[in-house]
Amino acid sequence: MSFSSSLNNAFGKMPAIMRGYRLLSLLAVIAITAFSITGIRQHFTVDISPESWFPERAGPVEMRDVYRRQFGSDESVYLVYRHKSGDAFSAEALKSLEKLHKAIEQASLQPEPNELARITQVDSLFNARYQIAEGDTLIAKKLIGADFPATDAEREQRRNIADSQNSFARLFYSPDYQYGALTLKTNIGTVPKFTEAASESNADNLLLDDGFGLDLDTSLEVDPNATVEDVQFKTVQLEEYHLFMNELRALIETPEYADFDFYYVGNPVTSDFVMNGIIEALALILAMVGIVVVLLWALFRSFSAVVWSILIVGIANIWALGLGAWMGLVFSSMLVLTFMLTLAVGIASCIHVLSSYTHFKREGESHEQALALAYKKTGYPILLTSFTTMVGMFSLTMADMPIIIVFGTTSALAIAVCFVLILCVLPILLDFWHPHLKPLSATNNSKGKKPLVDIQPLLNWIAGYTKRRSKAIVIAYLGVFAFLIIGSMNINIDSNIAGLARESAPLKKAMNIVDKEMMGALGLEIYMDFNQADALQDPEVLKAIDQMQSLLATQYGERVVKTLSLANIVKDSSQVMHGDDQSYHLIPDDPRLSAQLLYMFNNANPDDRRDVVSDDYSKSHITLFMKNGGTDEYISFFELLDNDVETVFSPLKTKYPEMDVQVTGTFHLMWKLMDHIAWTQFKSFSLAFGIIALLMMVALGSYQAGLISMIPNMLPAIFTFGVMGWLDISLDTDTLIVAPIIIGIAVDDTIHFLTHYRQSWLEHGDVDLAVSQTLREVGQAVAFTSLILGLGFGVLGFAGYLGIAKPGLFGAAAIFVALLSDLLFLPALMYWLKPKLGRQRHAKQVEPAI
Amino acid sequence: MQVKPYFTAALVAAFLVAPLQAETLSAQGIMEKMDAQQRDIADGNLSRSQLSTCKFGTSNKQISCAETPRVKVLESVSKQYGPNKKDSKGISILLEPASERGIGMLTYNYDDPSRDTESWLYLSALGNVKRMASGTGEDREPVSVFGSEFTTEDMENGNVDEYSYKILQEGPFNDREVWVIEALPKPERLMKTDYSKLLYWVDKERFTLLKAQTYDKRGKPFKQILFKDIENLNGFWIARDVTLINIQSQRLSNMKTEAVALNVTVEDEFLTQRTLTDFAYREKTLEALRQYFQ
Repeated sequence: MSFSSSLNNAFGKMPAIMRGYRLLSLLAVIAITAFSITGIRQHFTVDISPESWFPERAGPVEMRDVYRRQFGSDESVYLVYRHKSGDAFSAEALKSLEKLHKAIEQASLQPEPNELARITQVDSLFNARYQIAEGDTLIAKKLIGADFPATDAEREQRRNIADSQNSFARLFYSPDYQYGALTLKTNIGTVPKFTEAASESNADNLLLDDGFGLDLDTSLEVDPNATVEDVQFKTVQLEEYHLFMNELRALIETPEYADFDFYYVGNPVTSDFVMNGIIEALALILAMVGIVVVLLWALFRSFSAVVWSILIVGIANIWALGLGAWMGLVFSSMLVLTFMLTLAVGIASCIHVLSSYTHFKREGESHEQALALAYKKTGYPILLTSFTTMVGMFSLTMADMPIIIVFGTTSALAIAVCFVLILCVLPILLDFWHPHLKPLSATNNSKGKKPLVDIQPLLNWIAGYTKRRSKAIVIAYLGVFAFLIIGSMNINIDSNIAGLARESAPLKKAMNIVDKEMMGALGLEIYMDFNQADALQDPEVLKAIDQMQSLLATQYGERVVKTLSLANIVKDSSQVMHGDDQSYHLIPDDPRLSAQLLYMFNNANPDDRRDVVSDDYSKSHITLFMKNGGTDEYISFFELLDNDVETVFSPLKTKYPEMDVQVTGTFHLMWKLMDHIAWTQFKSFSLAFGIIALLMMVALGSYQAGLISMIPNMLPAIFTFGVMGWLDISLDTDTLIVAPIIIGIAVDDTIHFLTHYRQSWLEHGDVDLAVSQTLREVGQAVAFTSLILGLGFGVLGFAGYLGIAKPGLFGAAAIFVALLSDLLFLPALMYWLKPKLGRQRHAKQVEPAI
Repeated sequence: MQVKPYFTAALVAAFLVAPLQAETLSAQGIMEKMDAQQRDIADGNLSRSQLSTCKFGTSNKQISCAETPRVKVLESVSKQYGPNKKDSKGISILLEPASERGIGMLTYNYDDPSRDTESWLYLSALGNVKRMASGTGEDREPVSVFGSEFTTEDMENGNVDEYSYKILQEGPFNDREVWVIEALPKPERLMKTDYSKLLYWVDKERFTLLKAQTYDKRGKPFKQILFKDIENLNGFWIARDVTLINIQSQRLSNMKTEAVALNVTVEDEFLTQRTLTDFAYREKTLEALRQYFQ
């Protein structure tokens, strides 16, 4: 007897065996579930911060934190407004701006808990400080401030002053004055994990308390051996961005500011958008469950099918989560995908068992016999599909991202649990309560319900049709296959935040406006550490920075809207100190003069200075305001930028041998991350495909069967990628995360079909019989699972967040393509090629037994 | 960019030894008296100070610099004017570091709120004087003193009416009897201050500040100022070592008064733009005053 036949027999005996341990099994399930729930309650932790994607102390995160320790958070909300007057400098617009600016400032100062306390600074036309020279007087004032322009002439004068300031246009207002903007700087990502000083203040004991828990023993003694711990920042969860943005919108979107249209951009806004996507996904998963419930009931006409299937999936998730929690795993938003995967694979397996069970019941078998036959027929394919899915999930653990590893492990665990429960617990549950469908040879008086949909006649027709048209079907399929392969070659991997929002979404509109009218939706930093005090006062260094900015403006003008650095400040100050003479808008050659111009800047406001350069003038940064774009465009831009940085700054290396210049910032981090995830997923996906092909060869006991199985296995993927390629839709990070899961689910039915067909073919050596038997016994389950999962995933297509909607729609399409392949292509292929599928070897194994 | 010319005098917070009947004084009274005395100190004052700033680290609650401090040395001269000596004129010249040597700042302050503060900046590398105009009222935000953690607000006097004071506690503090006085800015002050609350530890006998603490607009601990090396000079108690610890920026600034001359005669001519540009005149006048250094 072959290995697969032995396994089939073993699976067939499982219901009877488990019946003997009914009570023990159920008690074990209850005990393990209780243990898992305890684990979840005590140790379950979720981290949905962007940083959680990186291993602890990963280089790019460390680099960004180095930047943040020096210059504070780079996460701001850029709030663009358009006043109904159409002029940001109209009296009404300025009045409303003043009110809004003060309201945000006031709200940010309210005692905590206060989400808006994250706002550390508000910058707008209202408080923008300008610097101009009038004769021998240097005027450095707020553009509006307490001195609100009383007349039209005064307002025009302020407009002219604003225009004269190099850094104002596009940052505070659009060149055509239609739009204005406020920058809300935040402390997001720079709140220390623990502040010793702040926590130990004792206001009740003023005579005893020595300050804020600190004591200064010897003034300014530098301890060369003292190690200063780098401040570690609290990670920020997506949910926190969501709460922050909700508060901000509640403050701003009131009738008081009805004369403004608002557009929000910035990382907090994007993160809020992603968080909304996750919330929406959770709601859609509920809708998915709803569809599964309705269809399960409709197809099996019994709530037992619904309750037991959902219970199995639910327990599998609880066990996997509980075990993960006990193991100390930190979960992420990808948990949603684990639920989706378990739901899909678990329900599909349950459907196969139930469909087979009802099939044999309808053919007149007893409950016990039908159950035994159902497990004999479906046990092995379910083991195979579970195993291949687990392998796919385990292949993800080779990634270097903790989130993906946890996701892969948890999902594989949940699938394994699901399999064990289906094998050991479902038969017991079905003994208690099971569907009753009318037998095929039923009379009107027969017990049981009539199925709502009876697709057996259709399956019989398909068997005949595929036999008649086998060549035409196979050739047509291969033609489409080839066409889509060409399409899939055109596909590119490109993730773009704006690409995740629908055209009508506020985020998309805002990004378009900011890119077109203002300073661009993205920000980038070139961080410079010269490792030498006062380096940033050196005209040579300042000139290199200036050269870098000129290069950015000339070579990358399409992407880089504006750049700001210390060099701008020195040049502006030089011009102002030379009576506003434009010819002095340069970095002076005299190091003393550049140092003194910087002294002037520092004296005006060290906080502003600290935003740009460190206290010892060894570290600074160039801020790049960029237009929105995808990873495909920007990853190559980052490479060009790295080269340019090297070219421009390398001449300074002889003077500053320990200098280090790097590109960083949240945008840089996130885009690199998205690109990295996409490629990691792409590689894992390819790897999983290879492993599954090998597994199928082993499992089906024949190279030929294994290779044949890969054609329908690959079809859903080729179809999805081919269509995307032809329609010029990029594969983005989200699609690449979800796609393998859905395609993995889609191929499960192929496994069921092929194992069933091969078994029948090995037994009888008759293609006709094998195809018709397979279609009859598996066709229904394949159609049911495809219908349930296809519609289930199709629901995700309604998501506003395209990161969910796109894979949902393509997933549903892939599932239906797989269904067509299983019902049309595979039978046609079998009819035409009549592959041996290792039958000769099987016959030799069986003969001695006979 | 405005720097109070008499900041050194104000900062060292010196007070007359003349005993006051503490029990008769309210918190407001104590603060008014201190303010008046600070103006006396600033009237005819020359000082040379070293202003050092560094990032600090803590170890067992002890603070020390975590990097080599940035050091500036400056000389300042100030004089009070007006009927109650509530107006002031002051000049500060930077001596170190070399790249900033010769930078000068001249400032006139008026008690009359309708009169703008006037200031002039001289950049020695450029060789010309610029009058500085930076708005009035609530637009005048506190700015740094020579790039240190001290701001003009930490140095100011003459604003006693803009706060509500309350004695929170009395008793021994570091072996001295003190009042702990809380100052809350009134609405008119709130617009132009960085602080929501200040606490002062005032020595009851010497009427010197031993410590001050400030809280930011959200009520969080912000700065702590410690006054040390308190000496009696010509009848004034002066703290020659003042350290400001900025809890939030994790930086501290220390001001050491290396030399000070009190109640010296300062010609009006010296407190004009000429002193900024005319090196010879400035040095000659200063040299004459330096003989009173203590």
